[in-house]
Amino acid sequence: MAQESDIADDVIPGSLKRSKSYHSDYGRKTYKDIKDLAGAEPPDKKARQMKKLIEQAERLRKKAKGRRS
Amino acid sequence: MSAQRTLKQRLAAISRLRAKEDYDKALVEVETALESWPGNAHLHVLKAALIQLQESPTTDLEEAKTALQQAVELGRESPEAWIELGYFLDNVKDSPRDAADAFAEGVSAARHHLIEGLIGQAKAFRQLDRQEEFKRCLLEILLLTHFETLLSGDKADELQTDVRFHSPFGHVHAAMFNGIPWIRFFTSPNFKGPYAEAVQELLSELGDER
Repeated sequence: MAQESDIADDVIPGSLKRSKSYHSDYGRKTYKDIKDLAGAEPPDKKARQMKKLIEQAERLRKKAKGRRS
Repeated sequence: MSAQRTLKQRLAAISRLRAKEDYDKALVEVETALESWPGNAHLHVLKAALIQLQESPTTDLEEAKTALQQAVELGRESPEAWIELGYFLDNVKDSPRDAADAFAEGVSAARHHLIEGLIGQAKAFRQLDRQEEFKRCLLEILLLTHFETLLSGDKADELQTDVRFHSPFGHVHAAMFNGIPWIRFFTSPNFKGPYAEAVQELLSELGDER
């Protein structure tokens, strides 16, 4: 999983930054900040989408490294 | 050299490049392999993953979706393509409704594969007189077929049944009342293992039911 201190832009690959779910104004936020915003009530939609992109990138990287998933 | 051996070597080369995070070269390798094996669903799944991981994209992100849809068409009974399509639809397209349909197909295919595998394994253990392993397989088959029965068929909402088991996360009591699932933990979940964080997040959304 991504580390809480990871900066979104550092972990989201360029390709996924072309997704409509990517929001450059959230790019300098940490994974923890994004998770907190995504889990807030009401949830922050941009944060929720950015959280998904971070987790997708991490999941695919782990699979590429050979983790069974 | 046989075609199968060549494919195996190509896949090994792709695997090494992926492990080194050289996703651009790995993608070139996958695309070359697809010229020879266009009907290989796994290669399409790899292509989709590599497109998503590129730092300086050479391929449109939509091509990842196309690759996954092709993989699904080529291997409708294969869970891998459906599950990857599900993650793409949810995480990249933010379309949980479409993702849920894809995951349903993938999970169902995986469950069938698993039940079939466990039946074979149980038979083998039985022949080898390995009673404990045989019973373990049987228990897993019973649990899986139990859920399969609950989830399939138009009588699912008439069933009132429950199951208790010990999971890596604690003692669980799961039940269906008039088709509505209910889950309760008897002991505090003890989160560990590769899926601990994901399961913890899901359980946190159970709210008061826990």
